[in-house]
Amino acid sequence: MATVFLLSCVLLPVAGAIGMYWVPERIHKLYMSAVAGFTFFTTLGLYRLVEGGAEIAYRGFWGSPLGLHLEAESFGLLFAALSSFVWFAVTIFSTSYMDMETGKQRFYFFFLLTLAGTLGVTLSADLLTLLLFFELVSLAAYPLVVHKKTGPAYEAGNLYLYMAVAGGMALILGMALVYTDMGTLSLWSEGPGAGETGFLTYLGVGFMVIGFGVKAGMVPLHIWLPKAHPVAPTPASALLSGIMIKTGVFGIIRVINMVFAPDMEALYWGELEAVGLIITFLGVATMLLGVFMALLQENMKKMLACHSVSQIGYILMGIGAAAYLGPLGAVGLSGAIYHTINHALFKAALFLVAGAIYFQTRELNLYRLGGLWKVMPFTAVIGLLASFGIAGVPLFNGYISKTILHHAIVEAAEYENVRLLFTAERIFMLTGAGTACSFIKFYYLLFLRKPQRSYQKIRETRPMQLGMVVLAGAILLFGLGPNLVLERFIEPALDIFVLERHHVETHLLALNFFNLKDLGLVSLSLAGGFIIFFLGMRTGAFHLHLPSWMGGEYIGRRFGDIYRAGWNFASKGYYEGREELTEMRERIGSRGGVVLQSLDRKGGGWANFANLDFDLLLLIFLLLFFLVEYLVAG
Amino acid sequence: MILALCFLPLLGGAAILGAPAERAGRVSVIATGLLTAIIGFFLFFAREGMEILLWPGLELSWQIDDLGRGFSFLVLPLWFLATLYARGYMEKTPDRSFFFFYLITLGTVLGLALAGNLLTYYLFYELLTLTTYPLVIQTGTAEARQAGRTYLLFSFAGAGLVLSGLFLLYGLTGSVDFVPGGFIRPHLIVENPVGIRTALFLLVAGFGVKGALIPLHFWLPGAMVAPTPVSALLHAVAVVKAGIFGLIRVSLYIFGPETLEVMGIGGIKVWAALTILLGSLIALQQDKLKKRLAYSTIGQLSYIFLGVLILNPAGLQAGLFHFLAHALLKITLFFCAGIITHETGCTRVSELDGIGLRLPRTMAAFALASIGLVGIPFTLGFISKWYFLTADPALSWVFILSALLNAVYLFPVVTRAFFRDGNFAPPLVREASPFMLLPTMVLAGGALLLGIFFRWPLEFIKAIQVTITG
Repeated sequence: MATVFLLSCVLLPVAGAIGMYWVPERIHKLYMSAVAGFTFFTTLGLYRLVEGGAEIAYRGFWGSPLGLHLEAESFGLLFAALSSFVWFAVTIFSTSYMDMETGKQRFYFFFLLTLAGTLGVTLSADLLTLLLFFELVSLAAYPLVVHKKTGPAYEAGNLYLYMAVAGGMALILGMALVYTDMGTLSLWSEGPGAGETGFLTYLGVGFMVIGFGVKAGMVPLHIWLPKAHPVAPTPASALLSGIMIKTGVFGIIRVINMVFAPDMEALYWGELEAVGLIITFLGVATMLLGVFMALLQENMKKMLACHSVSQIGYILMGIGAAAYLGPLGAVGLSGAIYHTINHALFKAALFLVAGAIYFQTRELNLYRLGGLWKVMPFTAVIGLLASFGIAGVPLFNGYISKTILHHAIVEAAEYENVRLLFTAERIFMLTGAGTACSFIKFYYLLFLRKPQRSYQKIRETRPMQLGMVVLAGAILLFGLGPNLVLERFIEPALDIFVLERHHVETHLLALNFFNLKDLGLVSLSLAGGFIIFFLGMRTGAFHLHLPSWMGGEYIGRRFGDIYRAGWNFASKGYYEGREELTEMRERIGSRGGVVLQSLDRKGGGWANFANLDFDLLLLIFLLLFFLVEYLVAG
Repeated sequence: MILALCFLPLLGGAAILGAPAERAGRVSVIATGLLTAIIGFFLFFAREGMEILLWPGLELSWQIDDLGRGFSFLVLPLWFLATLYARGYMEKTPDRSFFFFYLITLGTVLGLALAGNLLTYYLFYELLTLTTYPLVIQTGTAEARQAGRTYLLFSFAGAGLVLSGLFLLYGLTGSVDFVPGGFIRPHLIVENPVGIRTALFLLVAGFGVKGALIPLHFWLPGAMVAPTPVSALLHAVAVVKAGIFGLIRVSLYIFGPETLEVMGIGGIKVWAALTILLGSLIALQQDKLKKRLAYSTIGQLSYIFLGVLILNPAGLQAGLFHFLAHALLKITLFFCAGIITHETGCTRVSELDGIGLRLPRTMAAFALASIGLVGIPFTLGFISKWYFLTADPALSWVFILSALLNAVYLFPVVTRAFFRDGNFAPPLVREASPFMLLPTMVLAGGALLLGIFFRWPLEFIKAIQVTITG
């Protein structure tokens, strides 16, 4: 019975997606909300069951070469519940928003397929099953990205598609390498202890981090993200930024903190430590670069997408710190998990705010809007709550998770006094200030300052308000009751990791978030945000543009040019050589052929030497070459 | 009895020739359907083979082993679907001789699949060239004749190489029978290394012609001038697979994994790997859809050969599974390409912007098949890729790189079709006739289902692998 719950989490959205083509058009809105709602409540039911101690797993001998292995455990279910919750909220929002788009059937078909994939990722019990659903997410999200069929959407979609496919290839390669080395891909396998791990496992884990990193938007694999997220219809952007990139994060946690982590008795944790340091620095680079890009954007959806990159950096840093600290990494992990939840909530809310504005004004440029709080008061309130959340204002959810992450990085830095980690902590603070600045700017430009244009007939619609208010409620909940959340949701999720229980209790559950030191630090970063904001607005620094050669796309293009030039060069040589040889053949044919043709009575038929195809000649030479080579060298 | 199998299609062919030209398609569908049922039924139960003595020590022989039966079971339903498709495709230009040769080629392929020794295989290999040549030049244009000539030249040259290899092998060992796991014992190599190596090389090069190992592939892209049903069935499944099947027979049923291991086949492996990469790279440059698919075939065929050459159970399973996967997926892709050309006259990828509006089902099938060929989870290609990758980590980069290239040359067709506005702007769905659409959908759906529920074919392949490697 319980297995039915587990399977229906994945199969319900799939069935819903197929059903989308059968239900009559007039009940589409109701139908979509019902499917998303049912999925959410199924996930919730599953969560309750597992909380009550039920062990629910499914093993099917189909779909994956190692068998489709699903299991409901608290950590994955936390992600599943989060995903289906945000999906539900966004679906309600979309029922109104999608009135302005065409091709709704296709959109919702892939929308639900992506949900199924996301839930599958969170419920998989081995890495290969995870990969199956991960790729489902990658592919099913593509039609969402290019839904508008415009030129930029197509370009962005291409970049997304090929990077996602390449990421998938890196993943499957990594998994194959790990599998050949370790003989299993189960999440519960004994991690590679010291001295037993081969080179292949390291290589494999590296490839997997790259593969998941593409989806997560890890620097330098993030280049698709600021392009692809804004071009999609807003509900899809909200989910791409809020939830789908988290499947990458989720994968990295599974690989690094579960599969790669040794068990409790292991004496040597050096390998995990090294990997942890690398991830930490990748995370730090990601957060800084993301916020830097975000400050320079004019398009509000693009700005939010850049912030997604930056926030993923926070999460990666937490994961890295946790891996670095090994069994003492509870703070980093819970910070990462908490921040994943928070980011999903406020980023989805922010995107919905942007979408609501776009729906009413058809304008995405921050600098051409303004004074919206008068015409869209409801959206303004939600926008304020979500901005407070992401900027880390005390009493809002971002403050909590950023504080935990700050504790984690400080703990990591003090653990072996690594100088670079202290620098990382500085960058962390700086990024906080940048984020604050960015959202002060966002809110000021959109809502507060004088209107830059006149607005007509703006009426906020009910479904949009409902979708946003659900998310805002969650933001408040996760900000006001941090210790409750830690005990109720985060701590059970930590069960599956190799962590010292005592450390969890003393360092995590006993955390007091409203002490002077942490509040002081956050006010410092908020103040820094204000200062950057004023400086930026005065000097016009927000309108700077990066030189194009710094973009990954530019580099990619140049590589493409080099490849094309190389190909042209090679093929030119080939064709020229071919022509020359044909000429030579003709010359030989016209002279020597006379003699030969006198022997060959038929003359002009295809079997004589004069008409011998060049291809055949080349072939014979090559074969001779191969033969000689082969006989000599074997 | 087995011989009757190969001649039954001739009977069907006679029926086609007897029918009026405009009924040829219908008769041919019925005949192929009947034959598929009869032969399938027979193959399912029959066990023993047969032999015809030509000369003392030299005999034609057929056997019904799992490998041959697997090939036949793969070919039969595809033949039926392809004939159905051909009936739709040739509706406007009825041609008896086309359907005649189309049908009797089935007999030749069955003869190949069930051949019990290399001599029999060689004979049918030659025969295959003869029965398919009229199909290649069916349109009768100058281009088709040129392509047909190249096809004949290459095929005969290849068969000649096979024949010389066969003589050499017979002279050295006194046997050319197919035995699971091979009959050449490693000590023979010590005695006569050059002879055995030469024989292997000649056979590989000879079968490599139809198996389209670069640079023996020149005939294949040219032969794309044939009508699409021919390209789909022969140049994605029957003819090229006959070459690959020969390579499998030679490497596993004559030489055997152990012997090959002792001989060292690094050179041939490199050859196959180069073919994979070059095929995919050239496919990338093609604008004509059918040519792109042809070069893709060249790359994909060597997957099978390379998998077999890895010489361990996983590689063998991967290779044989890809035999199935590629057949189903590539024939689907060709069917779609044929429908596109037949319905809209477009032959180039760059003309396909927005065609998804006109042919949504066809392009959906194309999308499914290309995802499968790239090897993304829940598809046939993924299963074979997984086994390729786990078979030999050192070679895994070849498969990964090629899969990436596959994505780069196949996905643009899909993305252009659905997500770009083009010449097909008003959403006017006008699909092909059900004769063409139905086989395409059945194949795409079947490939999807088999990709998810892959256990059944995999168990069958494992049984074959056990007989070879023990």
